[in-house]
Amino acid sequence: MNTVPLSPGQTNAALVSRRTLSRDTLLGYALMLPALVAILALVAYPTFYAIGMSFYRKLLGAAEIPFVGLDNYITVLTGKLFWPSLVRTIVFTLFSVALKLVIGLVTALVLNETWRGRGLARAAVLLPWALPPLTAVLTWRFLMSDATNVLNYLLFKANLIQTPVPWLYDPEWAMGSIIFINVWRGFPFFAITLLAGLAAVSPDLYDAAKVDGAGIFQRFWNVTLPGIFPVLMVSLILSTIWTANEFGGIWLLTTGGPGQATTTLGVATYLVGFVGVRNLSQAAVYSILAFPILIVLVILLSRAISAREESVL
Amino acid sequence: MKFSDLQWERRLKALAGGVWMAFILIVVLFPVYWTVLASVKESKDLVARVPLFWITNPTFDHYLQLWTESFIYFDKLTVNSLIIASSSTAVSVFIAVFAGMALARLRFPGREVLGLVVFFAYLVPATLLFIPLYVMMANFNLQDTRLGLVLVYTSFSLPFSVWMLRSYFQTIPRELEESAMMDGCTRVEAWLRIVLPLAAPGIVAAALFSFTLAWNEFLYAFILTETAQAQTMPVGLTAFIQLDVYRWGELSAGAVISAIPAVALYLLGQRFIVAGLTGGAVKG
Repeated sequence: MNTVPLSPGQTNAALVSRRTLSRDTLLGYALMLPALVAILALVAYPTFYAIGMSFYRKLLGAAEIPFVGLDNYITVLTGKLFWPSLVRTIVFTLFSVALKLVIGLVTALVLNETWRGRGLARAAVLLPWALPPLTAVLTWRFLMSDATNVLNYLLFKANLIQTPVPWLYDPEWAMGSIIFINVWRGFPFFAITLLAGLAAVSPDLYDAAKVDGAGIFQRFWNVTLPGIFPVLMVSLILSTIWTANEFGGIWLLTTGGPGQATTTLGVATYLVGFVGVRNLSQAAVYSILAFPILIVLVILLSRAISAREESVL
Repeated sequence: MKFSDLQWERRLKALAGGVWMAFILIVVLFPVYWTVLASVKESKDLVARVPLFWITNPTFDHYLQLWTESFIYFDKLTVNSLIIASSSTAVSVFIAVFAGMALARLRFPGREVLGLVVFFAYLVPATLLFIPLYVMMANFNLQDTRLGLVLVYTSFSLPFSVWMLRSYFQTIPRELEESAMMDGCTRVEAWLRIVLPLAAPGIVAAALFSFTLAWNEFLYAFILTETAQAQTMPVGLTAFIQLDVYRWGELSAGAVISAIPAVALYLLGQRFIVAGLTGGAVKG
């Protein structure tokens, strides 16, 4: 923050704020109340409700809800769905976020240079992010469909493949395909936030590095990367949370299949609660087990944000 | 020597950048082009053995079909989507203005904790909440109602709006309201007359993003609605997928229609997009 010389008006303002201190407290709570009630009712209460549910057996549509203690936890943790789904969630998240970061960063670096049509390109790059997930996902489903074969046709014509690729229909390919589509939808987020981060890196630093004879990669490593690091961390953690919890973008492409090939934790939660055993309590266990990971990510994120705010000051 | 090195470097960089950008733009734009094209293709051309990348006989049959098909109630889906997204936005942003002001402007015990609660609420994903919310909505008989979805959507658009508005309000200099208070305004008057008008763009941006989040939402609408009474567009459109038969013409037309408001709002809100995406954690 820039410093403003102390004026008589300001000392008075300080007096005003001291006099209204207790009123600030009252007003603060009053203004927070509606939001707090809504958040407690719609986020906090459901969270605890899920924990409560997990000790009962609540089947979809069943009226009887017997207490079963830790049965659901035992069933889930010893079952054949939870651990493989966790592994698939980690694989999906790791590859997807890493690719989004790299592609988004390179795109941001190019968009940060001055060239004609850059504004248009920026808007176009944003498009996959702006599209409703349904639109984006249906589009790719169409391109990858084995009935229409558009993508295979193009790749074949470009001499990149010899035989049609079963994008979404083969367990070996399906995970790669949903990662690719997730990257397509998500890299603009990195491109745009990192572009904002790049704009804040002082050009003087680059000039100084050039004078010192630093090459392009040295400049990237020693000037650019440290400059955008705080923004990068914030984007990275946000994207990790969103990616790990993707549902529509997987369900509409593969419904978790073929077999279980693309069943991540989010999809597994739905399958357990609404499709297979239709056991909502067991599904709640899936959500609860994912919570500690979320808490760790949120703590990392709030640290990254305060680090960023300090770096700005 | 050094000078020509730099010049070469610049040329190489421009070339590499150009190739990269061309590649990205093709990968980004082609699928969008394909879907728009598919929405105006004749049905026989949609599944042609050799895909058609250009057509001379556009038809709006699929768009008409959306409205006339007896099992899809596209008009009701549109109305539901509009009502649900705008109601949850109105409720969220209205409440969020108060909370955002309190968090940005007032010092009171517990402020930090409340800020964290809001932040955490913003980040709790639907995949962790949809099971308990489903049971709660069933208990309150709010399944398959618009009210149910409005409430559920408030669970994410409210914390998002509070967090975004808080950071926007913080950018408005305190000195402005302090001098208004010196001139005899009460604090609340100073807010109403000075801070809120200046914050109008931020409030509009929060509303745009809340609306888009609700408009695009899939998971909650998927589990909480069953009929045209409350179904939104993203879920209702999937009725054009029957087992393995995809009616690509209608699906593409529906996908284009549901994308129009979302894309338009993003373009309108471009200035705020970075702050919006990160809920105000990164400023544009």
